Amino acid sequence: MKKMLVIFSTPPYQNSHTVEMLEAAMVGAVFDFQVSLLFRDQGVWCLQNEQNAVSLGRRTVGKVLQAMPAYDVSAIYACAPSVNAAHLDPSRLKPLPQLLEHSAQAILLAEQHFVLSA
Amino acid sequence: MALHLVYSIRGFSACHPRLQQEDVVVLLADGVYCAVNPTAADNTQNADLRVMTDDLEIRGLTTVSGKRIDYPDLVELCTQHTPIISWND
Repeated sequence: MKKMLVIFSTPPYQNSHTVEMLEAAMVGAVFDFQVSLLFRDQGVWCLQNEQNAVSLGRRTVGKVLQAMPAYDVSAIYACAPSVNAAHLDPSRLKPLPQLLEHSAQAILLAEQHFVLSA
Repeated sequence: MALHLVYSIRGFSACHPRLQQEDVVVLLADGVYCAVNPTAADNTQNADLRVMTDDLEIRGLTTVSGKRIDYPDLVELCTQHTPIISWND
């Protein structure tokens, strides 16, 4: 099975990239890729609990993320230094990610066949 | 071995902590500004640093770290490495 990693590095509502990348992840899973998600730098804000983008007239990234296991996308990682830099409480992130240091991220990257990033 | 395509200075900052030995890093577009820094090669953690010649010339850069490449070289690198990762922060 081919491995695909999708990397998120921007805040969830800065542009449409986050939702588009999540849709790409779903498509990858539908085509039997083993899909993982990595949130780094400002992208860790995508994991903030209790998002509600109704007032923006946009889809709520947090809710889309919580639907990912239904597409067999359950490997969700976050950059540990980025989570610390953002002063986020890892236990309150949703979905709960596995925190990775930079060295572990390098190994994760090396395992992939395809990497999408925005 | 991964091929890292770095398009910006911030992209380089995001890329270099996540490098493994023997990875190849290509600086292109505004990423070539990182090649002006003489320590850029040291920051690539023993990865192989390449710099796109066209993008250097566009920006008037001459003295840089890394080996200069052209587009055919880039295509060849793309055929030789998996995965290919873009860093465009």
